[in-house]
Amino acid sequence: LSLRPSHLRDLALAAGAFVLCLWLGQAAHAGSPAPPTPVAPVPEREPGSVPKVASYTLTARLDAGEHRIDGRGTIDFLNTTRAPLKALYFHLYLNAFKHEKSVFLRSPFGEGRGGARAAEWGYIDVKSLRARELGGVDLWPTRTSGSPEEPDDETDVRVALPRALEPGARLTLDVEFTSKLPRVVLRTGYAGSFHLAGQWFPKLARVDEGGTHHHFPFHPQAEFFADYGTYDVTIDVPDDMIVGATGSRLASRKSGGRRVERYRAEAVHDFAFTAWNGFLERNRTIDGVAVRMLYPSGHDRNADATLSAVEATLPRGSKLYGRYPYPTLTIVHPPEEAAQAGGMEYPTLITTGGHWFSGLFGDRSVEAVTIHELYHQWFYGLVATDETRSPFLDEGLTSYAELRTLDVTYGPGSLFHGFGLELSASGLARAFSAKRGEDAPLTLPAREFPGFRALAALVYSRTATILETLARVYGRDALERGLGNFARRHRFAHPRPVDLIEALEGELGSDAARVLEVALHHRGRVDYVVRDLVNAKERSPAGIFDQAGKRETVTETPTVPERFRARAVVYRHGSLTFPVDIALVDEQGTVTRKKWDGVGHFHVVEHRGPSPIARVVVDPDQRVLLDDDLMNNAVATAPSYPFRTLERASYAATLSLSLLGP
Amino acid sequence: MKRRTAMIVLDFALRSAFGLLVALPLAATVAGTAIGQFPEGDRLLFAPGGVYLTEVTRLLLPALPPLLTSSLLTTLAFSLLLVLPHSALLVALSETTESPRAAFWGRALERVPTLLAVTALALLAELALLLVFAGLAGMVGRAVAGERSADLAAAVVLVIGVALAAAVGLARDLGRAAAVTRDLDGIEALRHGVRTLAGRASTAFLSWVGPSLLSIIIVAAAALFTGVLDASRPDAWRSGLILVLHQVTLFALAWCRALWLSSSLALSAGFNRPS
Repeated sequence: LSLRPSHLRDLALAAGAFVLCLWLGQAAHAGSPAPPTPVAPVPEREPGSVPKVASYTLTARLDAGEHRIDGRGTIDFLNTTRAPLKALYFHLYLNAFKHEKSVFLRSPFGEGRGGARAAEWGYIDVKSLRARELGGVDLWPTRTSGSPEEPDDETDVRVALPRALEPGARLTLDVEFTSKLPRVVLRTGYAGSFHLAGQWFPKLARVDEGGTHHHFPFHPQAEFFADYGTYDVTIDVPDDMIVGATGSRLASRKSGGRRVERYRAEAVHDFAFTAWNGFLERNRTIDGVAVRMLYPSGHDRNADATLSAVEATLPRGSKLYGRYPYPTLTIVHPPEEAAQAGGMEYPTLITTGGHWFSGLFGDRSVEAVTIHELYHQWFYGLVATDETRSPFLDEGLTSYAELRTLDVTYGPGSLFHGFGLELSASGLARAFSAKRGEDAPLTLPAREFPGFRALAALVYSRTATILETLARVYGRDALERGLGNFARRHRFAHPRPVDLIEALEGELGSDAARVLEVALHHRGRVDYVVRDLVNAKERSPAGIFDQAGKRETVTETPTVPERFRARAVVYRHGSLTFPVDIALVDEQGTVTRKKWDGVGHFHVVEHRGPSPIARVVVDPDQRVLLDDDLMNNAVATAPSYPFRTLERASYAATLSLSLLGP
Repeated sequence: MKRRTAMIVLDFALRSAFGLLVALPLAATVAGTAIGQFPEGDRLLFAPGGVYLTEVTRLLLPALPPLLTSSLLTTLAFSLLLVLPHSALLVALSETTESPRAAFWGRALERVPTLLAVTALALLAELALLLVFAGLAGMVGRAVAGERSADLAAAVVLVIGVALAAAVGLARDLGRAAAVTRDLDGIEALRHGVRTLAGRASTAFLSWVGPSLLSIIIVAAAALFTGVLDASRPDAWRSGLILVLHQVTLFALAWCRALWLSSSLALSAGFNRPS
């Protein structure tokens, strides 16, 4: 017997095939009963592969006494569109706080999303803007308003280029500017020595593939929209300050009473930093990400709660919506006097908030804000939708992910637990959604909502409630896969509402997609109502019958044993259609379930059985969380009195009498 | 002894009855939301997650402010009416031998105006104190640097204010006792209460703190057991047991109150102004 190399190869092949068979058998066996798990049908893009459309290399020197940032550096712009560009548009967001003729401060109450007025003026002065490829001439003096219909507003500026920038061409702009931070308003500014610099530099407006610039004056109800690029920023602050910023810290040195730190972030579309001499710092690695937490003294418990929320969210977000691709995450808990700086998202940097005693009495506000802002790393950061035109895309999807994570992590007391009560965050969102469901279409641009309260209830709560309803009716796994596909397919891109509907249709089906479209675009609503429950004993037909030439009078005869017929009508008000269960409870307590596909305006439910039907409930499992009014979802022949409520209220009143009385 | 027990029971029963009357409109309003149409009834309001509680609150929101205002006014009115059983309890506790029924009720009724005056004056003083200390707490909070330190400093000031208001409450109770034992009028009774408190502060405090702490422990324990019993679960016995638990709690509170009133009567009777 001689062994040749080919024999060895065949043996290896056979062994390999055998092992593969075993593995496949094992996988099939293990796989069959397991519930579907989210898969990644779309490969995830990595930051390195993202075109650098608008990149910034800046130096920012903070004058902590004057709350001023002196900035200089270069902006590299790559024309990735199909059209030659004759101009560039810059957003100077801080100019919203420059004077009361700005669109922002002309809002009905001079307030922004956070509800605060600008207590001090803030602005950006651009000193020069020179394009190296265009002869180095200062282009800034030739600027005009980007929004001629708002001539007094200075947040949207158009800079004409001496010659068009062809597709694929690059422009290097040398820029010099000074930014004056206002007292903290709308997530930017200063309070004492605390500084949060957001929207602090002249920022290029996004240009889409067709060459259209997405520029707009800064409106108090709106946020931002920009292209991806690399940010390389050197921050120069007094040396007693601790700095937190977007991206990774590449270098840090002290000299001449100053601290100079360099940060770099790839494939992001904004850059923010904070500097304060009161920060405490914690560092932890969570899911492979270096998490840095900056917080004021007295907030150790909040820091614990925040990091624990990040531990629950970061791996979950990566699993569901694509891996968090950055090496760092910075979390800033502003001091109380700068509370307005809290609750904001920037790439790889989020701000949270809360009193030092938050959570002591059973609320989970710190966890909620942390989870919300962290999910913005996906729905805003990695999927950079137009926050001004379609705010529901980032805030709505983020709110859904937040509420779901709160419910999964903290159970039914995800909003509040204490005093014998457990309130869930999704339950409260449902109430807000029901209250203002018809105020306006969800897909309005931010500035077109009648007010921020309407925007908040619709964009945040109603979008989340719509998605939660889709999950409960059509399947949680399918919805999460759909959202995951949306997030992965449009990672480092700028999708529109139609892309979301398309991604969800792929997993949930066309019925769900139709519902979603009506709910989003056409103020779709639904209210299931049960009415008119009646019971009757079954009996033989009575009356005068003419049969075979004979007239016979038949009297009614009850069936033996006794049987009953019941009838109730379930109505569907509104334009949305969901399949629902209907529960019929007879007087013996036996429950019979029937199904209605929800199509049509009403559905007659009939039942025959040995006992009369005492109650009928539509959607007994509360799948349609979007139902406008839950209290009309049941009907009874003899409603029960709320004795438990009376007992509890009476006990509370008697205790009050003990306090107030003698 | 029999009369004392009867008066404690009367005090408890009237308080519970008044509490029930205050709560009835709220329960009727909740009944109007159709929660009773559901198989679970108002058990849904106690369900984890609070979806139906939130929904009922949302639907009743416009009706709640007037409802709560009227409940508060009714509570105030009932608390005035409770002065009568309180007076009867004080008289019963002050008797070494039981007087004839007519004389007993005559004396109890006779003391009512004085007790009302003492109550009103003390309430005024307590409110004034709390307002002043709330203002002081705000000032201290603003003056102290650091969020947590400022809040804690303000809380300390508030606690001092509450403690002083509680001291006024002690003086009021001692004054009420004096009104019964010494037949004083309102202002004199309150003065006597203040003097008794000032003269025998530690004894008064120790006599008051025991029943008060016991009351707090009883209420907290009742809350704990109510949570354990979980009214959202379907068994009817749970609701029944919660009802019994709450009534036992209220009766225990009435007993604790009587303990302190006995002490206050003894203190008041035994205290004479030092010459």
